[in-house]
Amino acid sequence: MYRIARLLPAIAICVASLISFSSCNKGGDSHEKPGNGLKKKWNFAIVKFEELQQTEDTERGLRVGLRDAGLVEGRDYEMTSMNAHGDIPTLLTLFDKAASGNTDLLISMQTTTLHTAVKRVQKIPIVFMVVANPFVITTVGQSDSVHLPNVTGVYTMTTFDRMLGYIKECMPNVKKVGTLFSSLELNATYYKSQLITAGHKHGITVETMDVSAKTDVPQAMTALCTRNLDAICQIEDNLTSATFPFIAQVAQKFKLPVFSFVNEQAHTGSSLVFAPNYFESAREAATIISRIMHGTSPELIPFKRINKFNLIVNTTFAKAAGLSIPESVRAAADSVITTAH
Amino acid sequence: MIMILMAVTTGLLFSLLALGVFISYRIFDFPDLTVEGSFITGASLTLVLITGGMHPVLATLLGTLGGTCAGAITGALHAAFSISRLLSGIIVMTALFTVNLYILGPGGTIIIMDATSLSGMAETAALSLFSPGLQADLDAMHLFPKDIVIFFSLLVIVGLAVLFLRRFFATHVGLAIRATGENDKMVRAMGINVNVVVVLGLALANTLAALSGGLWAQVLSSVDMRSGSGMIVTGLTSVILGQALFSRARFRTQILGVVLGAVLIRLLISLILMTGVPSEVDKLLQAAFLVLALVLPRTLQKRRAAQAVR
Repeated sequence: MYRIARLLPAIAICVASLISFSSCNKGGDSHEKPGNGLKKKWNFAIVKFEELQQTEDTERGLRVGLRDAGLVEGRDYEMTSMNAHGDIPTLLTLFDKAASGNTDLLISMQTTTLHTAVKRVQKIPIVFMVVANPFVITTVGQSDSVHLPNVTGVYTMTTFDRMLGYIKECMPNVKKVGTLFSSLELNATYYKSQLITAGHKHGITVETMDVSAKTDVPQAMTALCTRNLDAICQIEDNLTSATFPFIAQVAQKFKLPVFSFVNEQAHTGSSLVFAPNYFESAREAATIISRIMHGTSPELIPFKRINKFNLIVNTTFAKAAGLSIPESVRAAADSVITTAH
Repeated sequence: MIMILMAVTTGLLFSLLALGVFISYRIFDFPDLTVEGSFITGASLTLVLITGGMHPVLATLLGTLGGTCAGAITGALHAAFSISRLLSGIIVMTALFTVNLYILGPGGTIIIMDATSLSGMAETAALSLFSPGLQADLDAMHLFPKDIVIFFSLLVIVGLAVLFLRRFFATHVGLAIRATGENDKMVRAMGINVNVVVVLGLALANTLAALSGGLWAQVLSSVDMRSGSGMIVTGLTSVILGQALFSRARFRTQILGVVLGAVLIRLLISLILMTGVPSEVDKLLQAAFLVLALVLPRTLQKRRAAQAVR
């Protein structure tokens, strides 16, 4: 009896947790009938591998896109957002939770998330975004129209060709550029090979340096900069995105201009950014979600490659690296920043 | 030259973490996984406070206290509830994941601008310490005044930490900590409260780990939830290498050996990066070097012993 009494607080905590958890899951059950010709109210679950500026922009764009499609949050759908904080086991748990709960549609952000999603979830429609190239995950599909029956989405494949074109315009004598990359990330390996291929076309040698841990970034970046480069053309991956201010600082010491592919990096050290417009691509993704909600099977919706990019120039960082941005590039830029922060 | 400077600087930064691991792993024989979390706690608290406008020195000290608390909790879990050493570390590390998430905020990442941190202070100091002519000369050699200031500052910080530990482990409390690691039953028989000793020792170990995290985050100008992954391995590698190099040395010299181990590992990484070896095989080379560092001293020792017998 005494033992049972000792266990009572623990049992009470477990029961209370279960009750609160189940009540959380029921969240958003308003009695308002769905409009817009929908038969039911949908529950969306956004799953992210980690929070980055790209995912924030995407989530904002998605909400705007859904609103533009005539869908009202609370009436037509409920949306929950989950973040694995860069932890794969947590990502698996999030998908298992979503698949076993009342989720009607999964919104997968980032390549790692999609990679896990297609392995764990077969019955729920998955709409992916913030993905450069879905075909690096071989099981996803062979082409835009031949893919897994429950998976569709938008992807924003960066055009390295155009970036190198801008670099050539800014630095006509450029011969060698460098980039760090994380070979542990599918996207990074793909981007690296794409950059090298584009480099061949433009007569630019691309020096690469693999970093598998943040602890190696200072030394790897310094080693890269000592290879007689003309510029840094930093590809986008999670590891280097998180350490970009430091990467830019080292490049600045070596008087190397930095060109990169993430919008916010124009504020943290990049002279020129040519980045996918994640806000606009998410608005496109919202139309796909709307079609699924109105009865179209994801199998019949081809993947959509988005070709909307932002060209951002930061003249302060360019000047610090001894780079003069030509008027033609400035004129083509969506935004010209003149401050360092 | 810049590669060597960068390697030694990074090595010094991680030597603080390695000293923390040395206290828990070598002195206590306590496989303390808390450092994986307390490293980020130190880093994230420091950057959050700096972002909030606090002076970087004060922010670093307060961030370090976060690690102290984490270590003390691990010690308390083990001492008060007899939870196994490994498990108590795992429990606190797991709990710190959530704590660190709250500290970092919803994004889970903090990026600061250099000027507001210790790194920015180093930049200001470099401008006043080095004449423009000298700065230009150093720039030409790819040796940057700010990096030199950071290097010497770290040398002072690590030097002070080593001095403190050498003195501390010679005091009554320090000797009690060392004795607890060797034979806690004997220590208990001597009337010393082993529980307090364990809490104190782990608090000290994680203080060093958090200090390392706080400084590292300021050098890198960023921190996120993945910043701490692999830190236990980083620390252990330095400790083991330091031990291999100073296996027969006195305890006080072994502390210095840990710092040298941390720096040597970084120099090795630089060497691999500079030789242009494909980056895919650098970890294999690091492993091979470690095996060599561990096996060679023993082999030489055995050979000398055999020659002496002859």
